[in-house]
Amino acid sequence: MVFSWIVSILRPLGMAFRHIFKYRFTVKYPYYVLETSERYRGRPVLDLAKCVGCGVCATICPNKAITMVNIENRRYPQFDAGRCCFCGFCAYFCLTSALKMNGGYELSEYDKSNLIYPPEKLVKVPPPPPERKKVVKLKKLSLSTGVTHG
Amino acid sequence: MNIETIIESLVALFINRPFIEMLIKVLIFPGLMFPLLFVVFAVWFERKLMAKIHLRIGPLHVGPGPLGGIFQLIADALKLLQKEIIVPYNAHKILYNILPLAMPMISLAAMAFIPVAPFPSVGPVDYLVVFYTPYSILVVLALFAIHPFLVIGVGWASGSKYTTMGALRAAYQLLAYEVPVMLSAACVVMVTGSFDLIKIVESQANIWYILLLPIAFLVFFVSMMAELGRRPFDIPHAEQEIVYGWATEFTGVHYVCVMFAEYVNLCVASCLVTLLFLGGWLGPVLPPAAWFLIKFGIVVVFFLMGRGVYPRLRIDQLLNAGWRILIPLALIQIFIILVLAKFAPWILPVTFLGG
Repeated sequence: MVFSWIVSILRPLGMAFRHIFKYRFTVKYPYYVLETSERYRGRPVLDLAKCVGCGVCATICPNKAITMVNIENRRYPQFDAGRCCFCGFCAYFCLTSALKMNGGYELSEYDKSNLIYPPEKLVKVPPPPPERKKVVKLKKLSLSTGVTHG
Repeated sequence: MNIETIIESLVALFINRPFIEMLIKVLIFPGLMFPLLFVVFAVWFERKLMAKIHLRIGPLHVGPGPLGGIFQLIADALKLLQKEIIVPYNAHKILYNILPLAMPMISLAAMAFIPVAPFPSVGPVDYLVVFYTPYSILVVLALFAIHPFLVIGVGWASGSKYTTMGALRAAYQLLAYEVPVMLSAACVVMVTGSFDLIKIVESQANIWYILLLPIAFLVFFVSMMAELGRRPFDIPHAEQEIVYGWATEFTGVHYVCVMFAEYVNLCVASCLVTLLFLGGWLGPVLPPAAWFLIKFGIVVVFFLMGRGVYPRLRIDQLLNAGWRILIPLALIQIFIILVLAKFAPWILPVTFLGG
């Protein structure tokens, strides 16, 4: 019994010591950014040359985040990031693959009106992270380190 | 008497070696500066260590690079000093205001009797200790024993049910740990034959007492942890049960004083463990003060680890542990010392009881 007491006292202590030197999953976010996987769904990005203005995306959008607007007598989608649920239907149903969901996840804005992306803003692929940010590859976070999240 | 003679006499009074040595002792190394810096560092180190144990990163921002968060305590203290002092309606006004201010004084007073290292001075060997007395371990333990009474007084004076409950828990806890502390310190005193911390350290030149008296070390360490109220024994302020125990009502300056006293107590306790069982400043190659600080740091890490590792005991479990385990263990250690003194006295550094 005494032996089991001693073990029960020493075992958590040893585990704590091992934890001190273990790898941490936490990423210091504003300074380091995780690389997203290939199929990650961010904000939709429009390819103006491919878009035929059919309006399928606006029809299929469950949250009505996409509306069609006229520019120079052609119809283009206008996107509201505040309503988007990132289901990806617009990109999936797009006839000409003009919409892609690779717009990244850094969508927060100080002003609500900035959340609305007119076609000319929707075209822009978001800029790569600034100089101060380093991209941490997901490979490093694989389960081979022995500790899982949660 | 002209101004030159006044200046000369002042210079003769203050610019001499004993006075400057005393200033160094009182203000810098074992004195005021050391516990202050220790508190700033220990709070930061505790947060960082807890984070590492929990597989987090810990504080990052207030401070340079890997020392992120080290200035947080200073910022917090400055903020708290500006805060309004709220005295509860039911509180005993005088005691409520005086007792928390007395806490750091008594903790720092205990620090004054701790010898840290031989002082590199010319002539007879001097020690880095603010006030030398041949009964230093008694004085330090006595000053330690005052702290829980202040806690009880504070808990009562705050006039709130949480503080009262915390104070009563502190009183129960006092019953559990005070006897083992004294008994295990008595083991060391018996082997050394002196109450003097300097002599206790010097007598460990051949073998540290952690090897000679391992049971006493265990008992002393555990009951010191209870005395400090560190995590497995933080029954008096159990945050999940009674808001913050006896310190619930404190704001501003009072809170700063209370927390400061807690961490200075941690400093004194680590010094005691280092001096009594780890050979104090004894060690090869490095200067003695460096050896002391290294051992001190290791003891502090072990004191802090408990918070990240163990769950809190119930009060009855603590009393059980104190009376049924720690006190018998200390008595067994005393018995072992007596047996050694009878049959193998050459192991002990000092022959006593007539050899």
